[in-house]
Amino acid sequence: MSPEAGPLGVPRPARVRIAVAANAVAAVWYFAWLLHPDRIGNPWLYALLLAAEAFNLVQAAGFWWTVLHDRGQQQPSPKPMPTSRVDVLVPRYDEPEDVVGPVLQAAAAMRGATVTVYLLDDGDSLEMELLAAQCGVRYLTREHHEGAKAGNINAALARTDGEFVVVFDCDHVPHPDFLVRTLGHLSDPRTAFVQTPQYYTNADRNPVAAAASSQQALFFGSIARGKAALGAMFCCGTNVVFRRAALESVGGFPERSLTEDFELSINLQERGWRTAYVPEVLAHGLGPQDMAGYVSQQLRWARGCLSALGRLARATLPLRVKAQYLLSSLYFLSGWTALIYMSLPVVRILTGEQPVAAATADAFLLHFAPYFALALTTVAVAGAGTYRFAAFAVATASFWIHVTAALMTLARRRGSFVVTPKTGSGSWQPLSVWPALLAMLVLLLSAAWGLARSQDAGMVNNVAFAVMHLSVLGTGVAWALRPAALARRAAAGLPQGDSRWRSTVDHHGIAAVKGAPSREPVPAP
Amino acid sequence: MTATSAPALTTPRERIKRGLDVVQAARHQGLVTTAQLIAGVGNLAVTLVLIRVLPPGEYAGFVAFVAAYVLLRAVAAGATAAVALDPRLHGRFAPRALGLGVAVGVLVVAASGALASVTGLSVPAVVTLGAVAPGAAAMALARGRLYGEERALGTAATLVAEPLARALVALLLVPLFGATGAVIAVGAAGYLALASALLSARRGPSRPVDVPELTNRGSAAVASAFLLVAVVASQDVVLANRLLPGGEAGTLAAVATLGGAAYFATATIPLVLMPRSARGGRGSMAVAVSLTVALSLAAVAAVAAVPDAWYPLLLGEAYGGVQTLALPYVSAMAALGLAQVLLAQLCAVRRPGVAVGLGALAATVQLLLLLGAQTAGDVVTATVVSCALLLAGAGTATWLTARPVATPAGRLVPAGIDVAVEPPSVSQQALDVAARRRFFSGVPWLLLAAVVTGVTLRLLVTRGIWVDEAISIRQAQQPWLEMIAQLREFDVHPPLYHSVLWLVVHLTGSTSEWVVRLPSLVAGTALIPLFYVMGRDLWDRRTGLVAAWLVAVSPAAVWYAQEARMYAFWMLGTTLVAWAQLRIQRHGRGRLADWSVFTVSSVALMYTQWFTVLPLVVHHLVFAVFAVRQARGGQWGLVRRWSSSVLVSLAAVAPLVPLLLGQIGGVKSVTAGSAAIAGQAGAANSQMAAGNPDAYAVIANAVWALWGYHAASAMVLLGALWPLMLLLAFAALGRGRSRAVVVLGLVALLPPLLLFAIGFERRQFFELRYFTSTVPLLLLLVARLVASWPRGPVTRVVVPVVVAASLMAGLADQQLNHSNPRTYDFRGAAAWIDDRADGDDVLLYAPGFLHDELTYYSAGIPIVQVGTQLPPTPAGGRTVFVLGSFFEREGVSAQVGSALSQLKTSGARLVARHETANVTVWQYEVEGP
Repeated sequence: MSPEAGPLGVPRPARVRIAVAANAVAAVWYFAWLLHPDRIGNPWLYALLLAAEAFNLVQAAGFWWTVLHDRGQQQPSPKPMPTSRVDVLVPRYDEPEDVVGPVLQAAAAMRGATVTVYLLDDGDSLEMELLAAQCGVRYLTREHHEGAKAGNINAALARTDGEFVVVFDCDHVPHPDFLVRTLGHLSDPRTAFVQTPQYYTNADRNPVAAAASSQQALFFGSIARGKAALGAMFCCGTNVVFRRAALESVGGFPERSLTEDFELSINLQERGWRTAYVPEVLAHGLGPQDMAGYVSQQLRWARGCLSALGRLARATLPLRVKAQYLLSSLYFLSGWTALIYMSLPVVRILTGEQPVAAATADAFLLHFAPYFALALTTVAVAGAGTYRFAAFAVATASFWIHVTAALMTLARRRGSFVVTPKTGSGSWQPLSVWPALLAMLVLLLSAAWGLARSQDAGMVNNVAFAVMHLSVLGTGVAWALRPAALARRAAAGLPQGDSRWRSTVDHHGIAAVKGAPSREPVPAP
Repeated sequence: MTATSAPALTTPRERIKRGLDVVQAARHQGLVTTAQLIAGVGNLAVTLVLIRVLPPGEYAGFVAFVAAYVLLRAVAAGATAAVALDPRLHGRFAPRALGLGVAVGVLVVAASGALASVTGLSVPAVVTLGAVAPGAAAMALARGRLYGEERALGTAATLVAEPLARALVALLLVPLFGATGAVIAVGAAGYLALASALLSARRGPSRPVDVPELTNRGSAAVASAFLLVAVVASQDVVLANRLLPGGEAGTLAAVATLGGAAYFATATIPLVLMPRSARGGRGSMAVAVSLTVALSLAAVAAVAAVPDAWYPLLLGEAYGGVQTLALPYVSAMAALGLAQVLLAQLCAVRRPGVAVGLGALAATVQLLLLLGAQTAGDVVTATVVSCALLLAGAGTATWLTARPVATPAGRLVPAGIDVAVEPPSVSQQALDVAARRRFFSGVPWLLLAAVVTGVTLRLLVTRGIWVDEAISIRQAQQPWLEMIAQLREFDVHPPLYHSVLWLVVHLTGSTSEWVVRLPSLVAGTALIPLFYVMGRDLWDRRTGLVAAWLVAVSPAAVWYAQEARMYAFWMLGTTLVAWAQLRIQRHGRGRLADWSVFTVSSVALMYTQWFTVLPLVVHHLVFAVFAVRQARGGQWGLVRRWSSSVLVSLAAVAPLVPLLLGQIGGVKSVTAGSAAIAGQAGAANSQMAAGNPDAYAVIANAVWALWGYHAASAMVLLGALWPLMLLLAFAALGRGRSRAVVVLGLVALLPPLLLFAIGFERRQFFELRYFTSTVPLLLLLVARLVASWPRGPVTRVVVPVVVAASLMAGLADQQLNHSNPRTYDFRGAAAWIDDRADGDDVLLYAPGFLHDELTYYSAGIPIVQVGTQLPPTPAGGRTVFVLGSFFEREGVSAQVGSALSQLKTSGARLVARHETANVTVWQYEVEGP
């Protein structure tokens, strides 16, 4: 029987192995051809192409390594610990009541332990205090709002004493069995935290959230399962259960980082703590509602992960863990490769210079096509179809975010923690994607100019490359330019709101847990 | 829990009522048909008398008038059908029809002088025509009412009254006024028949009208359907008069007279059928079909029984050659009569739109074929094809409407539970009509439009006969056994296609271009509805529609539907096999019907093309995987049926082994000796350059499969667009894939992949013609992609249209651009030579395998291969034509150059040089000795 692909996708390990093996052979076939000295055309362009290809090969190899450790099938959960005392922390900054309320209600309704829910309000809002009272949860605020989310949690840690600490972003609604499915993994006293996936319910009706969700699905599916098997899963900031002792051993969340969760994981791993991952969707959150939100989120992640590279380099970690963490951090340089790939046809059209020489297009295609096709196949197979074109297009159209983050990191410019907006503007947002629009304009003008100048096969080939990039970028920025129309389109025929729970429940058998209702009503925030 | 259908419950009383219905229907039909036959004989008798009485010139004028009168009546006859279906229309339309008829009549009379000079009719004849116009319209409606009210006697009376009145009035007036008297007699007879019809309608109580009311649109559709049938019945004669030389047109006129009699004999049957069928009269359809078949068979048998020697006696010496055409033409008219009955049934169940669509399709096909006709045989074949098409379409549509309908009594119920059958609250008839409507709402106009477009494109721009086709045509003209022996010795193909071609050639007695391409045309056209049905069955209606349109305009599908070779058969068979396999997999162990289709189609494919073995192996590998999975689950049903299918297939294919062994021996000896084998002499010339297959070869084959064949320069540019494939690959990320897509993908791609590998050893095998089976499967996959990927309301329309438009652009370039390296215009070259040659001239040609080609396109002069001895030059000198082609082949340029050099040396004078697509002709004048 084949495993059914749930929201995270469960691949067939045999297929993954075959795909990876074929991909590795194709990579050797391609690079052996590319690295031949006769291939050097314009040395500068060749060097750029080689750098981009090498970077992608490293990332690809890391991906293969990770997904080869994904066993797909979920391990049975250890027995829950119903007598445990758990503090549930819900940090809040400026999110509205209709977003926060459902989270508090759902958190208070969690089973499997003695739960105390705290709303950590950095917004000092009276309405929130009232809401907390209505929901029967405790309300905490602090005098000095330092250290952003990390500081908020640390302040709460000092005022609570539960054996375990759960952190939910204030837009992530937990399932009632969240603790039932996770706490057992902390029965091993060496385990510092149990992470669960982030899942965006608004992917049903918002294209940007859908694209982000597709990216998340690949990460929280094969990649996270593989990392967990390698002992290298890191904390993602929400939907996570900590052992208080572990947090206290590293002094709580690092407050000077933009990605406090990532650096916290490094700290914990350095102290010898283990990590665990439960690949079940146990909380539903809200993804970025528009491109501005997506850009803000990605920029923060990219800057945080890239700025953590130094810390990571210095960290004393097992090699496999360090390598895995490095791969995750370095992913945020991949925008540079997209920039290089887009530039090459423009340079060829405008100047006639090209990176690869002494080779016919036929030879290039013969060596490149199998590598390319198998690389995509591997992503498709390992991700069990969860990674979609929309996710790829948005990621590519956001190439400039990685470039900007890298430059800011190099310049040692500090950034501030920006909460991802939970409500979209639903309006035209060309400014949020202006670098991508600029790239499109350059590609378009180059292609037009090239075709006007010559219609030979070489020119047509490079114009086709430009058109390909234009199409991908165009898809990626479309949601910034016509959000309303595309949202309507995305909503057509897709399941809405809590219907997602049903697929989660069906695929992962949560409903089979004795006493659990078959359909838990979880309001869509 | 199992399910079963509740049995149909009939009481003895119902059975008796049903029997009475049948008897009544038979009596009604018998009476009216007898009257129709009497009318026919009466009209014939009057005509024969007038032939003898009137001088030839006046008789010709009379015949011209009758032709115009019949045309007028034919136009109005559509209204008869509509009123027959709903007699209430008579009251609604009679005043308007009369007004229209009067208006037309007044106009005709007013313009009689001008019309007389234009038509060649006499002024009195034109005036009479104007006078009968109101009567024709009124007659159409009055007779329709008689049919609709099921007044058999009245109908019979008006049918018989007309020739009787014509004879009587003519008897009075012809001696006084000659041809004008005859003309007036015809008009007066029409009015007397009208009076008879009106009187009959008033006599006795009329049957209460219990059929649903026909809307204006519906009545127009019914009228149009019958009008289109009339067009199919008559446009061949009209066009033949314009297109064919006098003798050929005369031959066709004689044949059409015989065929027209067969059609006329059954013309009333659908009109009697419609009202009975519309009110749910049981047995009426069976009676109508039986009577039509009986009359048709009688007509066909009568024509078949007439000895050849009788034709000159019956029709005159000038029509001695009619006998070969009479039988197919009368058969076609018989088929048309039956088709008309079936169309009437469609109208009766309120699907006149389907009837119009089918009629329009048949009329269009016939028209397109007629436009290319050169002989009476071509015209007859056009009519045979269109009538057969109409009959097949009408038969299928009627069968579909007659399928069992889910009714309250027929619903699925658990076994072992007695079901009390309650009387339905709505009538069975209403339920039937509703169910039939539901079914046909699934056969959209877009499909019919796709079929019409597809047929048109396949007939519109054709190329000349290609070398390999010429070989097949030559083979098909031999006795069958001799042809098979030839295939065994000198060919590389199995015998199915050749046998079909042989049958067509021997049945029609013609080897004209489109006759020999007819099997491919039919197979290529059949792909269109098959794609629709398959797409709808496997995925959804939208995919079916997109698939039908894509294959309708697909350049490769059009190309091979225009070629007298086996590739269209191969595509059709491959599609059937793939569909059958997917249906089998859908139903566990598979249904017997699907297994039968799979097995029969597989075997037929093996008899069509040896390379079929590649996709078939993939099919069976898929079955193997599927069977293993099922066997693991303890289910052995599929394994058993699959094994049986394999055994039956092997047994059925076994007789091919000696042929295959013979051909292998032939290939070995040929590869050791000459350059090519007869079966595909030209094949090598349409392939890509030598060398190993490469990435561009893959792209080129992909372009050929989807966008057709193009000039080398276009192929280079299209190949340069390969980065767009990367975009497609990206766009495929995360898209769902059904089992159907996976299986079709495997069957489509694995054979070319294997041939790509084989290509490193034998380069020529990596070429589309050896994996033509991939084309339909690839088109289906593209259709699925185009139908399912776009999500927005605009893109869901735009993307399919853009893809179809790109295919059409490819098609236009393929068909019209003579730079296409696969286009060889031997037809044009031969015509050029024919214009300049006379009997003593000679045609030299190279390479040698053009012999069959130049025999087919004979320019009427001897043909001699370059390098062989020319016949002696006559005293008066002569013209020597040198035709060369395939210059890229080794030695051809040298051969042609040598011949030209010798001519020059011998003092011959170059007069002209003619270049057409991939063919060059030189014209030399040679002095006499």
